[in-house]
Amino acid sequence: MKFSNPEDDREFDSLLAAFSERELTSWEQDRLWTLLKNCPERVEEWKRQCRVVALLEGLDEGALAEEGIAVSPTNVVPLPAACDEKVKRRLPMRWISGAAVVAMIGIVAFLFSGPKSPEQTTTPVVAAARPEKLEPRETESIQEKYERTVAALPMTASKQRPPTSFASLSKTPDESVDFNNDIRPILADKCYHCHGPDEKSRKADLRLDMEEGAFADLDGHFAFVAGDAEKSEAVIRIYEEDPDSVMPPPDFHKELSDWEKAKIVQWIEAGAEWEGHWSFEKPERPKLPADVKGDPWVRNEIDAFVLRKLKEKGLSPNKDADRYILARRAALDITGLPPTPEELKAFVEDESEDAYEKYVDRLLASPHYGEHRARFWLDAARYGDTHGLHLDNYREMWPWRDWVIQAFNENMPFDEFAREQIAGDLMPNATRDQRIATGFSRCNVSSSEGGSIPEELAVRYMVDRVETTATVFLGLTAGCAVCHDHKYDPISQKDFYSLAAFFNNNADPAMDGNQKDTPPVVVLPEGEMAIEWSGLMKRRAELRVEMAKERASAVPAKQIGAHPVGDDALRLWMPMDEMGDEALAVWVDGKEQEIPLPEKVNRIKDSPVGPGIVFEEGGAVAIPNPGMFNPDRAFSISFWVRTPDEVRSSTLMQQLAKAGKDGKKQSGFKLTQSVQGGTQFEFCGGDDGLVRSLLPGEEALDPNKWQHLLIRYSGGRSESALEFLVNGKRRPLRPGTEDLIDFDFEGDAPLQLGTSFKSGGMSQLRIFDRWMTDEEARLLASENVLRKPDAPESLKKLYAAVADDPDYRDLSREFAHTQCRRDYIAFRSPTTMVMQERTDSEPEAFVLERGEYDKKGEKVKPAVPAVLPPMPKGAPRNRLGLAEWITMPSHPLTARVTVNRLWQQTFGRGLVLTAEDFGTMGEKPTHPELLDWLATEFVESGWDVKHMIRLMVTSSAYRQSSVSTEEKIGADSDNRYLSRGPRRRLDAEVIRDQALAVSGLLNEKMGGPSVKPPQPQGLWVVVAQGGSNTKDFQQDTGEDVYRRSVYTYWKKTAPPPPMAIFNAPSRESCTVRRERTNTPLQALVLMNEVQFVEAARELAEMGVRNYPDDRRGRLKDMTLRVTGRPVNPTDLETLQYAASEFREYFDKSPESAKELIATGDSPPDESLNPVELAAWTMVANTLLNRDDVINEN
Amino acid sequence: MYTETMQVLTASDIPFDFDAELTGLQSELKYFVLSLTGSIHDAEEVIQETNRIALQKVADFEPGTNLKAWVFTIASRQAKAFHRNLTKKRGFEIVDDEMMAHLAEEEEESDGAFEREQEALVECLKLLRPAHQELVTSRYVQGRRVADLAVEQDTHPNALAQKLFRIRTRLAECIENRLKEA
Repeated sequence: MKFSNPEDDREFDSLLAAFSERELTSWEQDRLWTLLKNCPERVEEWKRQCRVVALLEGLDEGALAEEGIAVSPTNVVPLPAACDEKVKRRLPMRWISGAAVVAMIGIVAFLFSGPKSPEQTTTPVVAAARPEKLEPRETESIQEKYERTVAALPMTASKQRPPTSFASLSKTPDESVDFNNDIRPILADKCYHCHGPDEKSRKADLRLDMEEGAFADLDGHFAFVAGDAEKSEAVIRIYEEDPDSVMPPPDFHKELSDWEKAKIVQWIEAGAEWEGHWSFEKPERPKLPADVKGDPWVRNEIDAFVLRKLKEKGLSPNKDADRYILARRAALDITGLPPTPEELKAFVEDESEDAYEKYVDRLLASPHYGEHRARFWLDAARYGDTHGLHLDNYREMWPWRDWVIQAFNENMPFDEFAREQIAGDLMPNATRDQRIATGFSRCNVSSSEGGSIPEELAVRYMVDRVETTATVFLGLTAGCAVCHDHKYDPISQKDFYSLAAFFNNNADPAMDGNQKDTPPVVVLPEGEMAIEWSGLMKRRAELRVEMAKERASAVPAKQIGAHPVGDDALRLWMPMDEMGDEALAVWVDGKEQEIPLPEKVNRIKDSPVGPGIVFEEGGAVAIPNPGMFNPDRAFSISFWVRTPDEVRSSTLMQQLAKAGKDGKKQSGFKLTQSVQGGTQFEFCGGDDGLVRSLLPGEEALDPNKWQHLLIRYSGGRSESALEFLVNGKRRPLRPGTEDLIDFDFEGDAPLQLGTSFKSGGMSQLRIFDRWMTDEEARLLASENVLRKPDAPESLKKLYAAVADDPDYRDLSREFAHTQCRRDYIAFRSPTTMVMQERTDSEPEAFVLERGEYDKKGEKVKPAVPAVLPPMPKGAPRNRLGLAEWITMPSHPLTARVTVNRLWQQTFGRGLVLTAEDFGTMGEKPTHPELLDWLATEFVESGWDVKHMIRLMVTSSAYRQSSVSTEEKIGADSDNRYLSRGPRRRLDAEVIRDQALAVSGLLNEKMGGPSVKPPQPQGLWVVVAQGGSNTKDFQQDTGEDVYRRSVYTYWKKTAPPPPMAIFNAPSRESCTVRRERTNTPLQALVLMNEVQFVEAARELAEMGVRNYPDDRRGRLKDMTLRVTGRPVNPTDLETLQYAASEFREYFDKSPESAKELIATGDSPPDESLNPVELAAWTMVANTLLNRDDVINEN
Repeated sequence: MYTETMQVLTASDIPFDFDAELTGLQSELKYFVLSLTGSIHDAEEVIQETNRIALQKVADFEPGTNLKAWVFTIASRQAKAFHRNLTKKRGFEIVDDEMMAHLAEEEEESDGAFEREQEALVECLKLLRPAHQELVTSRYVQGRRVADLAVEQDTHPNALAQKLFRIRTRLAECIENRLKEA
């Protein structure tokens, strides 16, 4: 096939080869659609491939044999033990899951409506010639009929099912039987679906995941009778031959193997000893294995457990790897960066006995340690720099990311680390840092899409927070219990929502507002502003208290003045309430002017505050010389407005002077309404810019109605300094560009009311040169009530304090001034989103039927799952209590789950492979005792993360050479027993950071806003919505592009490609274990991506400069830098040959040499010969692509 | 006045061979849906939903008309709904309706086309080497998994999948040629 470019075609072919044989990953699926898009040829090919598989699967085996086509004998070939069980479990393609369809059809079967016309209401179509094999009984119900039909459907994949339990092939039933190892997995896989934790789908009231249930008396029947298999109903039923009684039912397609049946019998005969699920039991510190004591290979406790397991398996460990390999391995695992040649030299030449331990300690002390550890945590916490849904706008969270890095570097005890992230805000006298830490629960994706239902979004966030917390700290797949009781683990739906209640009293809004700082946030001013900020916050709190005191002690006013608020700084007043006159009165700075009533402007009587004016199309009132606004100064515009009788595009008021170099731009402000109903205030700055604030359609003014509008601006010179208050209440604005207002207004112009405001009206316009407080806003909006004789006393009291009392006025004006500084600083400082409890409600939640936000069931209070230990005595029923519970030293899960993840980060594979699932469907630990020893050691060490990493990397198990033998690959194919050292492809970030580091490009600056290194053009545009502020990718320049990958800007809907291609997750949801795949795309990144090529050139420059005439020396130096090992003679020859080939090539084509070395942001060294440099860039590029460079060895 | 009465259908009310026909369509349906979803898991769901709806709406089906076309219309509508859901969930669109329409587009198909293609396929299979015949039949007719077959043949599953893909492509070409000649 040749459709477009060969890479795409090859990729498409590989997808075609895979699609029918296994589930494509979501990345592959995306690629598939992308490749199909706008390519009819590929679509045809794709349809053809699907068709041919359908044809093949429809063939009949017997008929084929008759045709003389080779068909293999049908006996099942036992699989060798090397096959990964996980793969097997995933692969079967059961197209129609019988049980599921029957269950579903059960619901609908009886909803069939009758035939439509009355003529046909008699029995319609009559059965005449039924095919014999599907002969239904006359009385058969639709349900039965459907089951029969389903049973007859082709089940190709299940025709040849190999024995289900893999372990069964390597073990025989005469071995001892262990409940958790042998029996529970069978029950979980084959029985729990109908006899498990899920109450709704439980059959016959039999529950096999709990001891009480398994041995319960059910009308004289007992599923299990200890010691007596023949009396055990379960045994009778699994050996039953009648398809109607046998368990599991044939429809369920989960038959038990003979080995499994035998094992169950053996267990019952042996006394049916029940054990709780291993990970729900508190870990006890195991004794060290005695038989390996004194073995010279054993360096620490880890080794003792590992060695015993190896001996059990008939394996023996490898010797230590050589120092070069070990140095690189430890550096990559501890800091995520390769050792520098100096560090390498110091270690390799260190002859002291504890040279390695000292080397490890130096690495642990490096600030890069925290960056590397944090990287894993960011995956788990789903950290990103955008909101992740809809517009996917920028979100400011990096101060939280820096907090994580710092916490790891300071070796904060893990329990504290966890507590502060879950509930730092609820700790007594919470510090700024403790509040920042709670950003962990704000990293979920969020939306502000118009038309979304806020309650639905809120539920979604709540569910995500529970899932993340449960996965990260407890290794539980709690999310399975959102819609129904968990099928396999004892977590009921009620348990889930009780856990969710902890996260259901947050102050964050459902709609994120598309703003970077969806409240609540912590503002983090820097330098002088930080000092001013803390003073400001303190003073504002004091002022609030003093003003409240004054208001409380005020005496209700007897008389109301001309204005409902203080008239200081009243620049313009236009009451519009005179009747009959042919002129309108306007006070500007206290001086009265008269404006003749223009045409198409009419007086009306019915405004809430007396008479007003109403506009016809084109009608306008121009007020001369009202003075211009100044963006440095506060202002407030207060008026009553009647919105037009239908929503149309209108201009309410404007004051625009001609401005700009050519006088064609405008300067001033403009208040308009759009056809969508939104109300917009624009600051126009001539040539310098335009800042818009929009009250969006869904928050807009009601049509055809009088209402009070107050627009207030604090003088903070940013868009967020402007607010709309409708009837005295603040309305959320949609930030357009979140711009600073960094221009001034120029010129002078009259203030125009109307001009395009057909059927709209106005009354009592006041413009102040000061910021109205919330109380003043309330008074202005209540003027109509206030002026009535029966005005409420409370309102008159408010007026007395706010408008009349000179002491209060001083406080209030000072408060308004702090508002200006607050807005000014807040908008110019980093912020980070945090958790905060609502004060007007208690944490609680509703059990949601099928997980639907509007199907509220039982109301539940915060509680932890019943199967786990209870919360500590006296722990509050809020997130703080949850945090205390999670970090109890006796908690069975937290320490195990955490050390397992540390192990996974260090050895490449967890002791429990499924780091995300410690429940019954997760993998069992390969070394249960070692895991428990590590968990207890972790707690006893004071949750000391560095201590654990140190233990791991200094063990003999870790130091082993990764060399493998055929025997080891056979007996320990994926190194689960640690018969050799870890060897794996490096993670995305490490690969990129390594290239930057070895070439000297790496910028070691820590922390701060995320940076944007280069990426291919147009990636963001394709996923972005129109108004998104992350639609256009603007690459950073200078040193910023060489920062470590942990600081790379992470757009959740389009993660940085060099990361995503090497299996980094999208960060849309929690990930504690990355996939590790190898694809051709990765090689393409390594060979062609701008920064990798640039790194190669830098490396080449270094080589050419340091060894201008000694090519062997140059090669030796470059290889040592990149691989961390001296070059071997064969490689040296090969590379030298390659260098001369490249040189020859570029000699012939010096233009392409220049083009190659111009790659990247930094310019090539002009003093070097471009042809030589290009040739050596290719050599360096080859080095960076080496297998021992992209892998840890 | 006529009032519509709800009536529960019993098995004998259903056009008699509807279920047999539906059963017969499953292997075609399966890959038709896979071609619309690209994911085995998702295809399973769409097929279940399609079968469910087909059985629910059995009364709407006019016997004598093309059942396959009817079921496939249901399936493509379901697949479309599935992609829309996905779009909503992810916040951006990967597969649009136009693309779906293009994929679901059926060539004018005469009755028995599938059977004729299958006959051609059998002839084409005869042209393969016995080892390849056995591989293809083990995989697709007997429903063995590539992972298992790879272990038996001491090769990598991906390599085997590649091999199968090449054979499938050859078979598809062969079928087309045969039908053209006929």
